[in-house]
Amino acid sequence: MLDFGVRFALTVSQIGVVMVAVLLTVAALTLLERKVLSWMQDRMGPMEVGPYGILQPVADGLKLFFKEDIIPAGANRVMFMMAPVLSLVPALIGFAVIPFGPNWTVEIFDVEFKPFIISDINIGILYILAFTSIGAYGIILGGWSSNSKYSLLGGLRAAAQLISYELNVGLSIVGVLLLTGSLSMVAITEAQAGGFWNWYFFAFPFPQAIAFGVFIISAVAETNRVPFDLPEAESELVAGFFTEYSGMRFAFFFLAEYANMILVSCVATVLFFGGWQAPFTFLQGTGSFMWVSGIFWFAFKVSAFLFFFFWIRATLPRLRYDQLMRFGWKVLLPIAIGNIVLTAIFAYIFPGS
Amino acid sequence: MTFYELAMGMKVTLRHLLHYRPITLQYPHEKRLLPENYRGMLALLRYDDGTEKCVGCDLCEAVCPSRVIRVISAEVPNEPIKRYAKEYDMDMTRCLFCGLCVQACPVDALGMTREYEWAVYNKRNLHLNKEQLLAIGDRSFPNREKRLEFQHPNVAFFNLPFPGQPLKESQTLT
Amino acid sequence: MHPVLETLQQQFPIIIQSVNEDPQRHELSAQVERGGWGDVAQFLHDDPAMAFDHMTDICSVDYPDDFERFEIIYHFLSLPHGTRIRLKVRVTEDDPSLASICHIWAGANFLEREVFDLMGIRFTGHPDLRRILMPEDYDEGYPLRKDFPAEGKGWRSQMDFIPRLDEPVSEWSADEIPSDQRHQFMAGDSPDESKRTTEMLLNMGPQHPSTHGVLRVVLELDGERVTKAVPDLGYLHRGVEKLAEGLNYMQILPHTDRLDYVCAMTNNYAYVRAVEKLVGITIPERAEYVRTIVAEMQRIVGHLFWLGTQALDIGAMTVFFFTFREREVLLDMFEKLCGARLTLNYFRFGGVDSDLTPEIIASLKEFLNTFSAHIEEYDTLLKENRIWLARTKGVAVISGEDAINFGLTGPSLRGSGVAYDIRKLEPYGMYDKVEWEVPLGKAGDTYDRYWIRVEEMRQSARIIEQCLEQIPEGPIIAEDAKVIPPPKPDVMRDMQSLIHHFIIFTQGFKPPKGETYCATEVPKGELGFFLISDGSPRPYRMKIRSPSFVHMGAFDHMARGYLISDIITIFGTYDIVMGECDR
Repeated sequence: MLDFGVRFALTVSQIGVVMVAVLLTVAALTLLERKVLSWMQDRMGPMEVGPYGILQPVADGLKLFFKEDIIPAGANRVMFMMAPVLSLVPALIGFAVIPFGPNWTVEIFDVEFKPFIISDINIGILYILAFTSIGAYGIILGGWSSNSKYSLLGGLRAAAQLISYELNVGLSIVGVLLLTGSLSMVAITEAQAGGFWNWYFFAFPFPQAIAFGVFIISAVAETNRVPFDLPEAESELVAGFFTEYSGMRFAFFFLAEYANMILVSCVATVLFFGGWQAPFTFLQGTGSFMWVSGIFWFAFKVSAFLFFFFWIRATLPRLRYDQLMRFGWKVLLPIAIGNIVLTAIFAYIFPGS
Repeated sequence: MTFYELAMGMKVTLRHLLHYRPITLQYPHEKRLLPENYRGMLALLRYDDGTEKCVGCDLCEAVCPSRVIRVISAEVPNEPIKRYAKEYDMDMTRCLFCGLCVQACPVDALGMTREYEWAVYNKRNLHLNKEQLLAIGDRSFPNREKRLEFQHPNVAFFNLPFPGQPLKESQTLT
Repeated sequence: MHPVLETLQQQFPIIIQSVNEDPQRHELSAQVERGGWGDVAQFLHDDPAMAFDHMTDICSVDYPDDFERFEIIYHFLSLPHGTRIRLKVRVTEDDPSLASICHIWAGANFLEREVFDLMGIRFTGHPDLRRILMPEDYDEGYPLRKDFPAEGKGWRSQMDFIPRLDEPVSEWSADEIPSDQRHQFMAGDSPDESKRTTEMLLNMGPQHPSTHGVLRVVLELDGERVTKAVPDLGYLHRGVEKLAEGLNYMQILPHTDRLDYVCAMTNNYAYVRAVEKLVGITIPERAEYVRTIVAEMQRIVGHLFWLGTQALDIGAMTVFFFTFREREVLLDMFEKLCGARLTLNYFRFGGVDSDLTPEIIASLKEFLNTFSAHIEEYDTLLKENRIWLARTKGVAVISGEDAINFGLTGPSLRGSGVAYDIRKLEPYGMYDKVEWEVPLGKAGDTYDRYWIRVEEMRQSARIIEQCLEQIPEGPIIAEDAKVIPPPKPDVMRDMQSLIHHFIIFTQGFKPPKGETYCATEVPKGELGFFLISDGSPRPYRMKIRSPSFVHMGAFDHMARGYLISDIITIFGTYDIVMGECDR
């Protein structure tokens, strides 16, 4: 019984740490996105709250928290209230299988405990894919239950878009899985140890750079970001599926979008860029220092992806709906399948590498 | 299937990020330098001896395209030739800031100041009377002109002396 | 006599009641008998010697004392021959109806609706004769009739939330909306509506992020595809034309700023030119140069504004900030020039308000030096960007014939390959003294119109550069004591100037009896002012031919078959400004 208690306490505290870290990152991201965008556009961004506007997320959060929560007349109340939660929870749940640092095991009160991953299940990546698909329900339900035509159109767009691009995400990572032979996120990270040339983006026998391209484009579409932000295209559908939302429910959708962004950045880091591994082994450090550098390299890679998300938002116009679907099905899907075939061939020719 | 032109676009935005030169003006903390001829809030002006310039001729009321101005003129007590504006009201909610009234005024009694921060909570507060307009003029134009008859010989020639307005010794004809 | 008028008289000896060729203003007009109007219109359009293929404007005038009370005035332009003609038809008050010409010129659809709305003339054979600027349930009469009070009729004129000088302070009432008029907005649950399965009605606007003001479009959707788009205008209708009938010519000038508030300078220019043509004033050379320079500066401002908002609508938000950065520089120059940034009120009859100072010229030259590099920057972000190409190429295609038939002007017409630019066709200002080109599109799609506007900015910069080199010294305003107020220092010194000053500012000047139409190329297209003077200081009738309004007439034609995302692009591609569209 003590065994269970310790395990429970450890897991809960671990979940707490990860959740707080993720939510703090989200808060920072809302500010950073605005800042980066404005720097690219010769502006200053938020400057009023706190020095250089660094307390802006706090002000935004307070404002959203105290805002009136409006439920439109004619909305399906249950669905309307459930949708934001259904959107946020899957986004946060995915972090359970992300390895943030070295795969160490420590024993506390005779309980085996992995400090840098909440749960090392052997189908980690499948688990993430499954839960991000559930996130689509939140968006579709939110769009449908609002009793607004703009929301409905946004929700329908989201449904089609997420299903199409989910497929591309799934297929683009198959190459990595073929090379690793495992679905476990930890195993995938471990397989890329020993320098950046072992990362799957560059790795012998078949570099997964193309797969990475497909993955990152699909990931942008998955997270409804520019240039694929059609479900919420502000100049067309006002705000798309969350047009009618306000206050905390709106904030939930907002959090979900940013949490999803972080999640796909984490997945990209783990699958293609070696997770917490440093580009050279001597940069990794040894002993207890290793976990600090591990977390640093992980955060560094994730930040790079997040910056990329902001960067393309500042640069690219929005695609049209039919173009988006055509691009997904006619361009990305064949590339992803071709990548699987080639990877399989190369993996067969050079077995065991 | 190259994305060359997209990459060039990305380069432009990145260049602006790296060579960061914001053009933002932090408005309430910093303010723009407005040019001399800025067409801001209207004001009534005075001469250097403190008398109002306005002679109540109604030209501004006649020319105003949106009927902002209402003038009720009267004779200056004890001075039968001279007139002044007994009441002078402006409804600034309608003003177009076109400057026609200033152009029309034959004695330069109206001026456009560089004031622009006139947001109010109650629209009634934008309904200004003569005292308020004179107060705006006083704070915006601290350097006042001499009386018209001292500025322009012709005016002086035709109109001098205004009864009850003895020449001050410091003021001489130019 | 002009051959066009001769042919008309020979062809329709009875129907054409009289013809007139204005010797000073070179304008042709003809009075047409109402019964034969349809035949005359058909002849004007079809006959190759006439070829009046471009419908410019329809205007209506009310003469309450005449037996045939209403006069409907049509303006046509023959693009092949470059001639304009004005045809007038009179109808009586008892039977205010006239044959519609919608089937000949598609652009007449909206213009006839406007005449019906504001003057109450019924056009027989019009497919959709509804009110257009006033609310559809408006039953207080026809606002432009002379017996309609300028302050309005019915409950709408009683709205008292703006304090008036002559009213006591009213207390705010807690219940502004009577309780019996409060309806809760609910989804309709009538069985008819819920059974609609084929198409969806989407109400876009008047409050929508990208409808460029307060435009409302009712879209019929099949999925995301638009099967019908009905624009609903008039949310910004101020009745400028009615207002102008109560103001003298000088007082109208600030109101023209508010038409197309993005490019106020060019509106001023168009109006001032019309009045000058009516009165017959010659403008000093320096003033003409200054006018050309500021008009081209304003064209750059207008196109920058258009480019930024169009890019923002399509999702490229950075371009928006970059173009506004340059726009600010130009607005600062305007501020130094005339004291205002947006509503400039800079032009005066006979010249301009203030002179270009060396400081402004220096900053303008500096701006022009860097401007081409800035355009390159926009090009890098957009011109070859494959997403931008995919969003603009082949979207909102309109053929040259259709564009002419709908009466499009400006970049919207030139995008379809029709070289109609008033600055070349009827040169004014200094446009014939400088070298520049008219960029022309081929496909008539959004991309071509985008390219034309960017290219026009380059040409405008070229025009300004040449004007700055050529500009002579001299006065900036003509001298005409009857029309133009004398300079301020003279008013103080000179009794005669003071008298003229008083007369001009109290009564206004009195132009000769007559009428004139004057078209000016503004960034959006052809902005025309049609003025009828009865010899009094106020115009008897002023009609504004606003390009945005005419362009909206082609909206349904251009929008059908595209997706919702393209509707946003199509809003932008006309460069509509609702202040001008609704007037």
